Amino acid sequence: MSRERRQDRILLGGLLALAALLLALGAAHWRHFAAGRRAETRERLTTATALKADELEHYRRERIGDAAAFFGNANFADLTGQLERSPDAPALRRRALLWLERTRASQDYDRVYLLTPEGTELAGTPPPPLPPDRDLLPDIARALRARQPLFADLYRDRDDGRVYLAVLVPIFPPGGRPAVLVLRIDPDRHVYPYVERRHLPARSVLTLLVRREGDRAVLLSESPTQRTPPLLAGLPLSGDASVPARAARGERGILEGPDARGVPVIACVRPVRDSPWLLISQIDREEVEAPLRTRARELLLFGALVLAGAALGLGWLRRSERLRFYRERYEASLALREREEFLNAILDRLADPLCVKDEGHRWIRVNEKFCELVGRPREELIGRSDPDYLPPAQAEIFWRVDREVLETGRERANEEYLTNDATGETRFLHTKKSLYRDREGRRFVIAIGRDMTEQRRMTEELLLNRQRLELSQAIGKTGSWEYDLPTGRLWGSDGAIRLFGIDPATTDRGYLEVDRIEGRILDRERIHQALVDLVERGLPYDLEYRVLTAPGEEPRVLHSQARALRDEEGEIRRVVGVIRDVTERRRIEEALRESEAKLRRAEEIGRLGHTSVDLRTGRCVWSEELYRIFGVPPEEGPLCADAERLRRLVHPEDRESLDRQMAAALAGEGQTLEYRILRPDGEIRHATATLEVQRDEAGHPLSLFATVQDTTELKRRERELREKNAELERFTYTISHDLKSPLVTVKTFLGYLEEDLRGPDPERVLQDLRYIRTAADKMSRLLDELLEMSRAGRTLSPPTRAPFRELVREALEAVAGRLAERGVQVRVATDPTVLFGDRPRLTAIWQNLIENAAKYMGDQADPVVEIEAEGSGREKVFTVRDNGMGIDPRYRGKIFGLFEKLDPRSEGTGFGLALVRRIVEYYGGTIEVESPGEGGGSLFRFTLPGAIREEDNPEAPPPPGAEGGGAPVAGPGPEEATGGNGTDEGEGFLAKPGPEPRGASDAADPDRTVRGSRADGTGDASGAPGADPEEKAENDGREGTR
Amino acid sequence: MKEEPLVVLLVEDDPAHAEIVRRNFREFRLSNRLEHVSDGQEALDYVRRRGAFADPERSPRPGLILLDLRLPRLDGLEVLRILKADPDLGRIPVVVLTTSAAETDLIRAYDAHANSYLVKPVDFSRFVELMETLGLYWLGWNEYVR
Repeated sequence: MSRERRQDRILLGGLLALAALLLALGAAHWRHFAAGRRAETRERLTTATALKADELEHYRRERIGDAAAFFGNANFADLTGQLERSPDAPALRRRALLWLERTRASQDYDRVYLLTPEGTELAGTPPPPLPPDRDLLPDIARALRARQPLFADLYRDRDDGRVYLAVLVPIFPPGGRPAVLVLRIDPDRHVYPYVERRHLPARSVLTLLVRREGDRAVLLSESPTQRTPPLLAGLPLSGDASVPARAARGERGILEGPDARGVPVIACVRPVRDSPWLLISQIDREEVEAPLRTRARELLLFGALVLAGAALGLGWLRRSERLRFYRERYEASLALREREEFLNAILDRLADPLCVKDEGHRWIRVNEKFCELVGRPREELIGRSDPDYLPPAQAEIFWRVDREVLETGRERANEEYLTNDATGETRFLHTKKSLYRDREGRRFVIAIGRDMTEQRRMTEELLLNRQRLELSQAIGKTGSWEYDLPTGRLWGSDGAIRLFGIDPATTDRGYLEVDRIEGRILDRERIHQALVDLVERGLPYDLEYRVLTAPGEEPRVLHSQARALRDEEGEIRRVVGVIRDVTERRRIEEALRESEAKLRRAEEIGRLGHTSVDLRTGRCVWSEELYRIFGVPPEEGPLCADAERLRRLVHPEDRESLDRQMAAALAGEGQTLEYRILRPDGEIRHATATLEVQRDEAGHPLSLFATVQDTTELKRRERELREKNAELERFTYTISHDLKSPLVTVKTFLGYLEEDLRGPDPERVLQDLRYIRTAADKMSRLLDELLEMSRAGRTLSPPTRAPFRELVREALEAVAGRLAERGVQVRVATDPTVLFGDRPRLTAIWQNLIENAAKYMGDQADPVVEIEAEGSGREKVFTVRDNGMGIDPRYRGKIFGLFEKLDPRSEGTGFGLALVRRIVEYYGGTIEVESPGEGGGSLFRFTLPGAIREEDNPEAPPPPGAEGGGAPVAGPGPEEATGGNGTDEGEGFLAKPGPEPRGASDAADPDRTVRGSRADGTGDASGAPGADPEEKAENDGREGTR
Repeated sequence: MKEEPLVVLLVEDDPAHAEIVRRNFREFRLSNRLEHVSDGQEALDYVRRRGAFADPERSPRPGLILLDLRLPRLDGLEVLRILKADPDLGRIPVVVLTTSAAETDLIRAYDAHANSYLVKPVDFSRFVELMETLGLYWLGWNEYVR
């Protein structure tokens, strides 16, 4: 409450301060306002007074101006003189009145009249004439003295009692007596209205005209308040503080003080120039200060209102404060009751029994579970104690523990049995008892138990299960582990811990520090990452890592799998995993991998792939090399399933035979399949597959194991070998036949010679000798040519650069005699090609071809040989064309054979073209011949890729001289180069997916190869004379490669 | 028993060898007519009566063919194959008479159904002996389809 009082006091103080502040502010404001107001009044008064004074001055100057019309006017002065002399002359009078009347009417004078210096009226208007005006006499005398017009100030006429103002004009008639013209003004009409006109918008404003007369101040104008007639109110100058008196005393400007009535006024005093008048404008102070008072009242009222408002507000605040205090007290009591109920509800919902006892062991609070355990309702138990319901032994224990707690104040936990009073069932409890002391110092025992009956049973079972688990893990060299995320605790089964080389006995029942495990893992980072992935992203955890169980020992490999367990909210709480020792397995796998790698390498080197097919399931495996052999990317997987695709990979010509071989193999006949592979990129490979079929007891095939050997290289070498063999054979043949043949002749005719020498006929002897000589010559030539031929396969002189044209020129020189003899015309193209090789050998090509052309010119009357070159680079094609007898297409293939000649009667041995072919082939080229038939001339066409180097022949547009050969070239392209001398191009032809790959078909038919050049030509001859020339050309080309 | 002596066709490009055969025929008084052509193409033309051999009087059908293997234009083996493939001409016995003792030649010749294969001996007396025996066997004892 004191706080409240202090608050009140503070509030009150605040209010007072506010009031003081308001007061001060109000006073200041008021002062400022009043000063402003007064200043404004003074200024207005001053201005108004000045204005009025100006008006009065102006009026007076005008009147003096009126007098000027008469003053010094000779006519009027004459008239006045005449009128003085004869006052009653009517004409004069009329004239005088006319003057006067005009002046009076024009300026609204009260009366205009002419007086003698004694005050007698000579003439005047309006009538009637006035009696002599005594009051004016002093002024008349003054005017006459001054000899100029002047004012007779306000005076009261004794006759009519009215106040007048007059302008006196002295008139001096020539030779007469002076007179004075009086222009009388009624001030009520012309002066007072000026004075009284209000210049200020104030009720009490008043303007006075004052004149000092001796020691008095006389009010000239009528006092509107007192209604004193003008000139009658006089104020003594001395001792009078009134404004008129002070003004008369000479004070000017703003004066404050009482006016003639005694009312305090603010006045402004200003003299009117050229007159005795003082103009006083005044306002009652009362009126000036009236708004100030009003403002003061307003301020006070405003302050009072503000204070009242503040006070009201504070009062309301205090009241609501008090209200809140009571409401809070009420709510607190409600909350207390609610909490009490809430507590009871909680206690009753507890699955554990709870009771609170007082010092006398009496239950003062029990929960439902407790009642249930004891078997009695709450109402019955409250106030009772243990011995009332429990067996004495149990009650005894309970009391003892209670006492201990009460005495020591320490918490006690113990295990106890409790028998239900209703059912007689005994439960096993863990109970915790503690002391509670309330405010009054009373002590209570709070006992909370836990029914552990079930747990006890489960623990026993768990122990048993654990033993079983440990045993099975020990046998399986596995272990399990758990990692609790919130606590960061790691647990491992004995088996798991042993896998890390840790004795389980050194751990806390399987719980151990993560560091102990981590320290032995060699791939910590990876595992950590995997765990993070598992916990944060739910990625599967399945990995292997190495563990160093003891320093210096071989690391063991553990395979670990784990799963994250989530709680009801889906949060990962625990990670449970299994680990297995896979060291042994990995070692075996490593060895297996190594041997697999070796196998792969071996297969790669040996170009031997393998596949195994389970014939029942269709599952199959391809070795890496097998994909390479088939030219299929391993990503496509084994092709066994896609029989169609696999079939497409077999050369179309071999598909049927492969099917047959396969069927035979499955039937148990034969194990080797030979076929060609047609790779997706078009390359053809030779393959030999060896099959092994596993069968069941009934002999049905179960599975198939096959190796596939890429025999392309083998085949190529085989073919090369065959070719070499064929060549060798040709030589052998030559020895055994061509050389033997003349020998037979020689020996036989020698025999005949012997006989014939004994005979009578010398002609026969000569004949015999002729045969012998011919045969011997032939033999000798054969031997020479054989020697040359064998040399053609070797280089004799070091290779040199030789332009094509030079070689041709040399060749032409060598055969000049024969050409001249036959009259052959030779044309050589201007080809810039530069060849690089054994010069005499290269020359021999053209030499033999030209010689051959000359030799077989037949009966051509105009024999021509054209030597040209076309194409570019290494594929340059050289041609030698003649218009001689030509070659029967049937024998085209035969002419390049050694010692083959078409015409048995011709002089040659059939050596030249064989030599040419050998040289061409030595340079990796091919040679072929074209001829439309007998009498149509022939065209030899050959390439020399091995003798053309790029550095000698920079790429240039074809020279103008190299015109084409006319006939289409039957493709002696690079793919045609079969590489008879074993260059790399040997495989080239395999790449060409022709309708009938030559090498392949040759390989498939060794018979034909052996037959060699001798047999092929006859085959063509018997085939069909009208066969397609293209096909012929190709056959010839093939022939040319042998 | 024999109506007309058998016509023998000699296919031989070497004129010297042809002379040897001719001399032997004369030597052993063989009444058989000996026709000589010097290359394979001519031989075929002869048996098929083409070109210059159209006249049956001048070029009678041979009863025996002596065939050299190494021949210009058409090779002896090819001639042999063509003959043996012909249902009519195939019955004419063909005796290969060549200098080549190469086994490949032998095999090919027999594969092409040569009826006999004789190698010309280098030795004179043996050559004469061979010709005599040949005459005895092929022109004496051997029976022919007429």
